[in-house]
Amino acid sequence: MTALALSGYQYHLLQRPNTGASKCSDELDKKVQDVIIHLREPITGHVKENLHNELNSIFSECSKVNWDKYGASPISEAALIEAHGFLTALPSWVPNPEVIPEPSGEIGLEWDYGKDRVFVVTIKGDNSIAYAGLLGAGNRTRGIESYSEAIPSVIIESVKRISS
Amino acid sequence: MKPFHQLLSKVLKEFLAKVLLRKERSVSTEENTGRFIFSSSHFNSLGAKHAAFMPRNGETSVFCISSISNDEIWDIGVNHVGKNMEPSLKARADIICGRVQEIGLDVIPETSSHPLHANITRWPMERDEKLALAIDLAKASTFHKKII
Repeated sequence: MTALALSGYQYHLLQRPNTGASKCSDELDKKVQDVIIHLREPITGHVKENLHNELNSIFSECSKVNWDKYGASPISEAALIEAHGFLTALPSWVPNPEVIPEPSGEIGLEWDYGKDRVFVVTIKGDNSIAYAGLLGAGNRTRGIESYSEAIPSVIIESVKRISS
Repeated sequence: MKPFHQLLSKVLKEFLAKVLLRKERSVSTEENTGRFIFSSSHFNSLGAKHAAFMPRNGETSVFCISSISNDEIWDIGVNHVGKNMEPSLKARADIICGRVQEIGLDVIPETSSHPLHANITRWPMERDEKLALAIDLAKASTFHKKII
């Protein structure tokens, strides 16, 4: 196995023409190109793409009545569309939430950091977001905010507070 | 014909008599109640999620499990609630009735379908209030993953 240790963003040092003529030289050049492509990929973009995929997966799993055995409503398309918009609008520095299907047909997004630090928002698809959470040291929050394009600051601040 | 105030008094007395007789007795404070979980998105390694406790039509179905064995508890979940069909039973979250009452809700027996069945009741109407209470229930519960 061949390994190359890089520090910082030294991948530009790899961008040299391949002067070899052997098959091994070609294979090594290809691997170097793969490394360069990987280093150039935006980390947050991929992570968010995974989150969007997870949201779609949960929508599929919870698209029938009674998906939880207690008469849960199917996740609504309106909630799905709005949740996708919400995830896209999340600043890149905000940690990824867990996607949770709600029995009411809404989509929940949860940031959980332990017994007394958890924050949840639920998205219904009607341009309103309900939220509630435990912010540590006995502090609590809850409320309902209207939502169209910009994520309400109280939500960003609450996530920041429990994740710091 | 009787005067209106006498009729009204009679109606009120009959109504109050019915209300007082129809006492809803809460489950004992010390009773342990179990909430069966069928969605793998409603728990993780840390425990049950708030969504596992969210009410449906103002109630959250639970079972009083203090007086039965572990095998009997799981049997209720698999066969009575789950009806042995997909999605299969994944886990259970237990919470003492007294803790539910401290949170501001109540546990009322509802034995029409099973002698040990009860409902967590007195949920508020607002979305954010329900969410806050469901978070409290989840955090106060003891989680048990079903061993396959």
